[in-house]
Amino acid sequence: MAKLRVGIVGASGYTGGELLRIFLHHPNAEVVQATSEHHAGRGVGTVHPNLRGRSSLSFSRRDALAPCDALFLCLPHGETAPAAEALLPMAGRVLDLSADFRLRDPAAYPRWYGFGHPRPDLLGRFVYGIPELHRDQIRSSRMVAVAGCNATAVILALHPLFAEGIAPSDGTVVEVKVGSSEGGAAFSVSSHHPERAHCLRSYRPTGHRHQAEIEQELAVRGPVRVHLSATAVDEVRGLLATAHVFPTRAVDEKEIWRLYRRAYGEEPFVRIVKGRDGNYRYPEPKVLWGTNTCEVGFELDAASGRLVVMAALDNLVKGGAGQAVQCFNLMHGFPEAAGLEFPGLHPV
Amino acid sequence: MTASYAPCPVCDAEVPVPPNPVLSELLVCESCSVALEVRALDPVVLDEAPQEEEDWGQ
Repeated sequence: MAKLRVGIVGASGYTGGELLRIFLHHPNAEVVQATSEHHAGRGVGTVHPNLRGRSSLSFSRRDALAPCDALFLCLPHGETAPAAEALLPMAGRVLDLSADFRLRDPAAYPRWYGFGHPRPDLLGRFVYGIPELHRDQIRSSRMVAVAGCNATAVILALHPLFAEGIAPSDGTVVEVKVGSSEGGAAFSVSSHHPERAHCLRSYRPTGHRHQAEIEQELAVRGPVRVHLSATAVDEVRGLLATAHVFPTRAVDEKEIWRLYRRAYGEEPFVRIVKGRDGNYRYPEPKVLWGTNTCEVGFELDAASGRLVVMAALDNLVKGGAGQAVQCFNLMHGFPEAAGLEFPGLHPV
Repeated sequence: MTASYAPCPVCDAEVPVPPNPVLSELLVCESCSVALEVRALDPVVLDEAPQEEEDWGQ
């Protein structure tokens, strides 16, 4: 059976590079075109050195894009929606990795992203791309807005609690510690090595834009407010989210165990981690580098009632390209884990 | 033979108990990975197996 033909728009960025890597080992699809305005004509291995000798593909310009079976859009936030008219008809199925179609409310875009949405008519046509929440909708959809990296970790950490009514509608505080690749391949003064190296920097104590999609997806029983802070740490990949939940009623650890086991016990890419011994007792980003796995763990402070929930993932994989491929697999009826079996490395 | 289960005292998962268990037999819960010990036989009661303590307080 012929492989599906995949295109990647904006393939010189980090998530584009991860898509190229993942599809090298996908049994049902291959990347046939990868666009980059800046690197057009150069081999993809010149920008993504891990692909040297593994891919003969060269970057092309976006205006040379040909129709294909599936198109992954890896453009910066705010650039996809204005180009939607040209891009969306190019493929049978489209997966957007930017934030341009994640929020259902057009009024949220000026507040969180600083621009009025140019195509509010399209917002309702994209399914929010977290398979653990929207698997059946993704299967039958033509367009998916792949979730943000921080948002994926926070949502997977907290969704069982909000769905059950254990987390209050307001008052949950989440701290995410993030690596530098979250900022993308474009550089700035803040990503300059002398500035970024060894940093432990509060870069968004309030107002992180992923808060919008987190609150959207956790509003299972009504509107919610989650208080999110983000801290940049001296890592390239990976993020760790730590949520402080003050339950609406008394709970014990066995109940929380049952809740998370019911939510994720059968999920191929969510792992409940809560060890009693060893070095890796809780979710740990570094053992997830390159994998599509999100680890979720928790600890209940019986004395105060505070429930601490942790989630870790690779921001470029389960928080980006890997989750996009997971959605792609569902949309096409392929095994959900196709191309995503890499188990990670240890030690790293 | 009917499979026998006992609740994990830590995470409340159903832990499969092998035929003819003996007191102090060690099992591991597949859900939470905690080492368990058979403390009673009729019915089977599991408790956390003693662990070597580590000092994580430094």
